[in-house]
Amino acid sequence: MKRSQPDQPDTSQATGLLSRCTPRHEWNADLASQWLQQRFGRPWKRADLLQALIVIQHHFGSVTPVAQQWLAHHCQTDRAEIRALIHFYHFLEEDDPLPLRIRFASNIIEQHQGLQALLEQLQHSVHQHARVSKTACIGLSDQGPAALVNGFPLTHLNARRIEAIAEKLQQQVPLQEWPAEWFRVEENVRVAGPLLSFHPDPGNFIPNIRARDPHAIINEIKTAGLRGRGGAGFPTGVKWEHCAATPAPQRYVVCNADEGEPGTFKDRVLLQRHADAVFCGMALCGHAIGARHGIVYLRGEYLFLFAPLQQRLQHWRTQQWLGDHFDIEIHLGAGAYVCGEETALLESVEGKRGIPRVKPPFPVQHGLFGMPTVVNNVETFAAAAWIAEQGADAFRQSGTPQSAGTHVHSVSGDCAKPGIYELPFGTPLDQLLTLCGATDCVLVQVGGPSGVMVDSSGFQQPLAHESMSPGGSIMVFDHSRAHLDIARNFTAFFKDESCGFCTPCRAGCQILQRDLQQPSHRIDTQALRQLAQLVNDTSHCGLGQTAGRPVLFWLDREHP
Amino acid sequence: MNEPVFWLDDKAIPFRDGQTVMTAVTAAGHYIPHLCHHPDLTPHGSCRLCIVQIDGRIRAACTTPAQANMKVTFDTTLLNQQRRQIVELLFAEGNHLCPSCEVSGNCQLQALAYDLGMTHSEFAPLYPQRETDGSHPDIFVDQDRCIFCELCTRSARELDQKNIFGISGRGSHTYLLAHSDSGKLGDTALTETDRAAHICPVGCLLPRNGNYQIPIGERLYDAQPIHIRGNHRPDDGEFTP
Amino acid sequence: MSARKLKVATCSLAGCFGCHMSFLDMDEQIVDLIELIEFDRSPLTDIKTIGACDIGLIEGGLCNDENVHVLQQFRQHCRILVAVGACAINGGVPALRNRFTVQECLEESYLHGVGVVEAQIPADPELPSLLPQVIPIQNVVKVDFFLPGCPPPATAFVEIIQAVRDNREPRLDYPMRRFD
Repeated sequence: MKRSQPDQPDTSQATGLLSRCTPRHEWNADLASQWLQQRFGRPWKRADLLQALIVIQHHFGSVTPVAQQWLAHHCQTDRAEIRALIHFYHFLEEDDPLPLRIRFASNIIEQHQGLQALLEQLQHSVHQHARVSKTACIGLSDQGPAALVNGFPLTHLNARRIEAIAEKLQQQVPLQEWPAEWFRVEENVRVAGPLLSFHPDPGNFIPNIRARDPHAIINEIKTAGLRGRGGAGFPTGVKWEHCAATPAPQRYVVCNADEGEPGTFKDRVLLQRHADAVFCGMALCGHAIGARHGIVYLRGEYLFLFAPLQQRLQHWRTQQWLGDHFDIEIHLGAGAYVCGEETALLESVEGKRGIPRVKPPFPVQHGLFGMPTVVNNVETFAAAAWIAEQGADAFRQSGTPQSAGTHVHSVSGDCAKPGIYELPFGTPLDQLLTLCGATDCVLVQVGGPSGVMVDSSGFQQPLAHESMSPGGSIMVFDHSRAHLDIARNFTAFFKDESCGFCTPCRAGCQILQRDLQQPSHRIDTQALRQLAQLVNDTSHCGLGQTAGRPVLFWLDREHP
Repeated sequence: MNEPVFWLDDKAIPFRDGQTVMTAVTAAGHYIPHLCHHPDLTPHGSCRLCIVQIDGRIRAACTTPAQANMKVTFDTTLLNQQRRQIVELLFAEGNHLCPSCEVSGNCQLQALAYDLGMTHSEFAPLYPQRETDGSHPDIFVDQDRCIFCELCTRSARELDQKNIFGISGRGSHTYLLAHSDSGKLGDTALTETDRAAHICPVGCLLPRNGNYQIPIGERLYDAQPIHIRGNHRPDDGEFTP
Repeated sequence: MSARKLKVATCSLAGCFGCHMSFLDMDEQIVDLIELIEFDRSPLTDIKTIGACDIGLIEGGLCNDENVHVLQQFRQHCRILVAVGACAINGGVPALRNRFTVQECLEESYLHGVGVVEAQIPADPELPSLLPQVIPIQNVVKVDFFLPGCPPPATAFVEIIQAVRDNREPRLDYPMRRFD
């Protein structure tokens, strides 16, 4: 056994907090305290519970009943409350006796890339050493099939690589000793526009903006016509203005890096290449609205970015670009698409289950811990920083009157060059298809499963808020792909990711998913259409209100 | 000064500042179908039975603040059909075997099904596997019947000032939990006199004593529909057989 | 009026015959009804095969492959198929076994149950094999009307038959819509 014993020196100590490592499994309260001290650097409380669970899960492989009791005692709560969190977040486990957990990304792109065969191959050879399962899209559709092993991404998987992985598992080689090249995450930037060429110098940027009038900053963002890049397209300046105008003892800036929409990976690349621009945008927002606290909510699938981003923030602190005036901390997610919904995200930051709140009130009035809060997408913050440096007029020079600037697209699927494309808003979809080498394109899913499915009749449409809101994900399908398979994959995704709060989404998605699995000639298309419409019409939040879409697009196209 | 009003179909509904569509409509003597709403508790918006249409969008009446001159569409064929389908979804999702349930005739889910004209669920049942908990001396928990309305969760916190119930899991694995280290209701501070012990609209939280004293056929919703009776339980002090 | 009598077939699948009992429990109304209908295949006539019928009344859900076979015959021969009672509509009390596997049910009944003597799981090929779950009849065939209740009241049976005679949708008034 290479894994450490309780009374022996702990080899995992050699590796850093939340780093790529094999969990040690035997519970050790002292060690847990040390990890949590390292994570928080201060006494921690109930609101930090989710972050604490993520640390325990990562370094001990699961959150066992003993660990739960220990955590419950620390937070002065009961074990049921701890278990409520564990059972909500996919990446938290109560008891996992095997050393490692490997989760294959199961978006339709990876399904088409042959994920099932690879998963079965690995499952057969390593069932005593690792639990092998599926998870939703992990933001690597341009370099899949891909999987997470104890949270870290394995890219470009094929049968030979799986064989090599199985060997490591059988020989119980600690994860920290696996070849680094297996974990290489490519950026695949194919077309870089202004934003992907933007590398602000925080040493200039931060003092400059702090000298500026907050109202002037908000006006500049409004004049630029910047709209949220997460998909909804709400005017960013208006959001900041509302937040600044709400009287409160403190305010928050939250960066939504919970890039869960399947087929989207642009925020991952922005955080890999342009973290400074994102932090600059957050600091800009903080100054504009009068907030001293910034939070990056980083999806659990991007754990590999946690350490580099932390290091970068530490550097910012030593340079005093961050400090008492404004600081940024990173909160990790733990496998929950619904936490991309802004109010569910806030619940999660507060250490709770990610259940979307009732709106109104909106976060700008009543957000994190009840305080006015701006929640913006990663790309939105980077674009805001760009505007602060280059000016609103320069920003408006690309894009359309209603959709100013450029947008970063994540392209995957049946095309020669999957990857990142930054194009002005208003660029016709077929221009992007030509650029990425989609020569045999039949269907394009724009904006992920919650977006729209476009066939050749819509390829001339511009990618802009006024036509089809792009969101960030472009998935390309050629003539060999069955639309029904795509609808099945997306519907199963919504069923797995429904938070369970409201009836139509919780129960409706289960039934949509089940009924869609039948052979196509047995599907009652009229009943299915009605149910999909019901889920869309009557659900509580944006997840449910789009969960019926994949079914409806399939029915419209194949059973009009 | 005239009181402000909004419109529920063609009826003018007066309201005070801070009222929701649901509370104002109820105060005006009309009934909007609901399960997770309770006048003594914070609005929740999870069952979605109180759907109405405002400005072309479907909203939950229980969480939508009333506004002057707002036009609220309530009684349409489509909305009634969607309300019925939501009830049918709840039936398909749990294990609701009315013939063998003690609260049959008093059940608000069943009563809404009757009232909305449901004869069957058009959705094939999912037959989930759910837990029962018999650890408490006064209250039996049968999660087959849980509809996740969180009336118990909220009433314990807001009316009894206790942390007894919660919801856990997610999506199809959502379940009701008891806040104790063992996860058993018997190890919580719930007592028979708590409001939370007498608020479940279905047969999930079932008092152990006093059952079957009123025969099937003579119960709360056997003679009169829920839109006349309102959402009640025989033990909430408002029912005389 | 000397119209042709409606042909009615009935059967009980995974049911308890309670719905049949309720059907007959209509006191003097049966005198009028018998002018209106005649029975084809039914436990009431003991006719074993089904011919062309106007109405098929199905009590009980589906628990084995013989149930499915009978249901499909009813669907083929009946113009109007009616799901009668809670079990036909959602599986009812027999569906309580759905939380167990078939093997677990058989072992409990024939091997480990209280009072079992000469424990042995029956394996005669003549016996219909059990479905993995007890399911409602509308999972397998199209159903035209639903009569809820455990059992449905006799008046609801009369209403269904009159509705078919009059070629209209049945009207199940509030007292007739019962699930218990």
